[in-house]
Amino acid sequence: MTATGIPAAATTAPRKPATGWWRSLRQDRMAFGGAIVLGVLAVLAIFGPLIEPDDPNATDLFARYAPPVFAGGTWEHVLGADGLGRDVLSRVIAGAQMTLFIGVSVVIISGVVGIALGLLAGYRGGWVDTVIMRVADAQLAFPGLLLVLLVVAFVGPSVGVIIGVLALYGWMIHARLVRSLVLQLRQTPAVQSAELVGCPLPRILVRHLLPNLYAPLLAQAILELARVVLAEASLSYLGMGLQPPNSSWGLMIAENQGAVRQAWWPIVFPGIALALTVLAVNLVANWLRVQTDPQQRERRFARRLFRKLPASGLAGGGPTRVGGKNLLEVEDLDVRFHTMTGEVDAVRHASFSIAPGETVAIVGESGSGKSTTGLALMDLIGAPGRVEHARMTWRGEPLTAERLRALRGNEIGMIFQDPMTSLNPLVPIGRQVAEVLVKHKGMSMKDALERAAELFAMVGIPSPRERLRQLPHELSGGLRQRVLIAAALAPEPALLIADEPTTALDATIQAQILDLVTDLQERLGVAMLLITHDLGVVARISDRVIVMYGGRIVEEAGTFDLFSRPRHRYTEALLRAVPRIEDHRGRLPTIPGYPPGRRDVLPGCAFAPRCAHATEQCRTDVPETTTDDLGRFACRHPREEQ
Amino acid sequence: MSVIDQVGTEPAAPAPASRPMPRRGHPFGRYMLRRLGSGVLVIVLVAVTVFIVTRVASDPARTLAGPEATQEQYEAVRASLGLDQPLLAQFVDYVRDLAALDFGISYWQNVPVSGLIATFLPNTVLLVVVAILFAVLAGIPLGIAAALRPGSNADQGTAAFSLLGLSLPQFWLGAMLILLFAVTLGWLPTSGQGGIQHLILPAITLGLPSMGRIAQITRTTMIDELASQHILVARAKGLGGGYVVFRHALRNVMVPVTTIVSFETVYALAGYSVIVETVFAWPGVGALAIQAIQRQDLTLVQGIVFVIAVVVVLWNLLTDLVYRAIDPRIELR
Repeated sequence: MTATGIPAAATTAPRKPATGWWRSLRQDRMAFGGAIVLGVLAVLAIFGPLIEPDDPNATDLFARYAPPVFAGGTWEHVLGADGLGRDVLSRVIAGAQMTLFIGVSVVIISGVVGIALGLLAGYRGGWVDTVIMRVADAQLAFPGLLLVLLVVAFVGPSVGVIIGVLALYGWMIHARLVRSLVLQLRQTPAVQSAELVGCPLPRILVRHLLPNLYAPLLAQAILELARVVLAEASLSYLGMGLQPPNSSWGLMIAENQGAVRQAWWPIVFPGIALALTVLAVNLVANWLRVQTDPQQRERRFARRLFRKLPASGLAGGGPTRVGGKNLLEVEDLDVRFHTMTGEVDAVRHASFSIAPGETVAIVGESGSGKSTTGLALMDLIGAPGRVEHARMTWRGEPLTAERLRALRGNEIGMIFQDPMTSLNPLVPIGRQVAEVLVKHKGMSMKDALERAAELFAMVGIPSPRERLRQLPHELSGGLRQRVLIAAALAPEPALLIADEPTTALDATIQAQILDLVTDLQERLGVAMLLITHDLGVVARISDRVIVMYGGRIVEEAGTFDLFSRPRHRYTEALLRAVPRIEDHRGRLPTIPGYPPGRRDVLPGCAFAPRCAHATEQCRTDVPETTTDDLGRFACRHPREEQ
Repeated sequence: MSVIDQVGTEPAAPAPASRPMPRRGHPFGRYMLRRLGSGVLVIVLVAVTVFIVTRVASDPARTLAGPEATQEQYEAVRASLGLDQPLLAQFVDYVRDLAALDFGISYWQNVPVSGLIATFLPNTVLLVVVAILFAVLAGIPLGIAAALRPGSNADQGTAAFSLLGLSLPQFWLGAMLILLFAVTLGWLPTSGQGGIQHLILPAITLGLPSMGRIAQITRTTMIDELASQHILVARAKGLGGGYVVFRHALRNVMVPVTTIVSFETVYALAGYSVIVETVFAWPGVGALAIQAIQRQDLTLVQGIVFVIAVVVVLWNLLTDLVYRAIDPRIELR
């Protein structure tokens, strides 16, 4: 699970879904404003001649440079008149018509041509692809307006030529997008299997591609509209675009620029119209792009919400039990994800402790809240999630957010699941270890790099000194995980949080990494919180086990006791689902049903829907936690000693 | 701007775990050779386009001879430009002259084209360099500041400012700046060339849209970057916020930002400079080009376009070298 993923767990207080395009547009004030401007513009363009107060080309020599009404003018020319006495408002409206006509025509033509060529290139491949893309690249490499100007000037500035040239100038943007999407899509298992069973590719493209293409192409087409509007205005301004008597905002500015000292209004208003149009188009396109990125939408939504909600997290509430010999004590940890579709409680009332040098495992299925717990201990939960409440002590002292920041990466190290993405691809690996020592031990970079080489040797990286300057892509997954372990252990932490450290590696490397971690842990006397779903690993290395389900700790016991005498019905089912070498016949045992989804509202025991022993009360009330000398469990109908 | 967005969001070159054995020579050398090849293709395509537009699709001799010219005068102009030759012969001459960097005599100015370009090009380069420097130095910090607190007032202010910057038509922005700072306040000269004060308004006008786009790309890539797994790991290592942003995230953000800066420079050089130089009467090749185009001064136009194409191609090659310095994985593409 990544930091931004939303774990599955029971949902409380379902919020009215904030989805739907209209609602989302209404929520984004800027984009909504942009949409309104575009709507007004469309109305002006379509009904222009009916709205214009005056003929845009009617000259009135008595009204030369008549000022706008708010600058001492009359209502006859609301926005004033130009040097020939033509009404500025009417000319701006007529300009809107021409601007949108050209803009929309160009976008449609270049869109159709670009999509067709992009499909052809992605579909046919081979030399067709090479030729199309080479020409597209060459055109992108020389994007200047200069060539457009040249063509329009030499061939003649008619409306048709302008539309044609501007379309020719933009097709490759669409072609590249469509082609890359076709290629991407051909890599997907769905399309590959469809191809395998003999479904013709054109049909696949139509059925699978067009729905995927819709949003990005629309965003792109809208952005293109902005570009075309500006380009047309620039051409007209330079005298290479629309010619009188056509109205164009660019032309209006060019015509009246010389008289700017006498009258500012004939150039200010068309400019404002132009800027507003382009601004509105950009705002709507931006909104569309965010719209197509659900993660960004979630984060944005949650951040807005957090500013309204009261402060939370480690700062709230003092610790209960100060003192004691435990390294870390956690009490009442609550983590909640504030998503657009409702609040998700990822971790609820989690309390546990870790003694110095001890290995504690947290086990659970995907979405049980185990990874979120690990991140919460480091105060690394990002939007849309946050720690609502927690009381923690470290070596018997209350742990505030501020103190935790000083411990993080120093006395508490963490290693993660995916070594392929956990290293910065552009920073040499030696530096990524050494920087920890510079930060926490005050070493110079030179000394820290020396030490990093020793650490590389310690974690079993061959020829460590030569590798210091290598970049992550030059290393295998197993070696990258060793680098990350070296970085976590560099400042000699007292606690190592290991979140599925071997899941992403292949089996032989898994065993090596696990041996390395446990060996180092023993040698350095580091306590470890191991987050895993692999019960075999748990049995091998942990002293104590915490079982999580649906965001809650359901059972805790010593490893031997838990495996031999599980008490919670979930733990029992989980252990039964472990394949054993001796039962080589029959199906793999599984737990019936599915873990709770994020939308499920479960007021009682989260395991009740899958539990053969559940009663009505299990479904309605959360079971109390029973503590005894073996450990604790939260189950009304625990497994009895057999 | 859609071009830029697309290029900007393209993922960096994938890095296979095991590198294939190089066929011959250094892999980066082969990469640069390939890039050089596509650069030559750009120049060829530009030259062919210019040829087709000026010789096949139009008749510049008609314009040059003037509306009242007799048939004989028109024929004389045509002959003096070599336009009476068969197209193939014209094309051979055209290519030979370009290859020899012999651009001929400007019909309008009656001086060698190469001399004119040598006089005007440095002014354009100066203007573009100052404008892009301004765009980079303002755009990148703005984008970072916005990305650090997405959705905050600072972010929305930056978003509005950068959007405004890239939405304002440059010829209008230039006119407005002249109206405000030159005409009304009288702080800066309206146009022309002279000291540094002549450079301020044109550079801002040319750089502002680029600044907006650079700020936007910086912001979105930085937001994505800060949500990435390796940044989470960096924070788990206890590194400070500023260190994580500037030493870890920024390096990755600079890959797409380099693309956009390179693009913006090309756009400014081969397009926007025409507009801005015209508005401010800045004596660069852009303003020269528009006048040559208006007068259909064939030799001058094709000379300017060719030289700009060469500069753009060289610039793109330089960008490739910068990439290589930022992201060494690039050679594997």
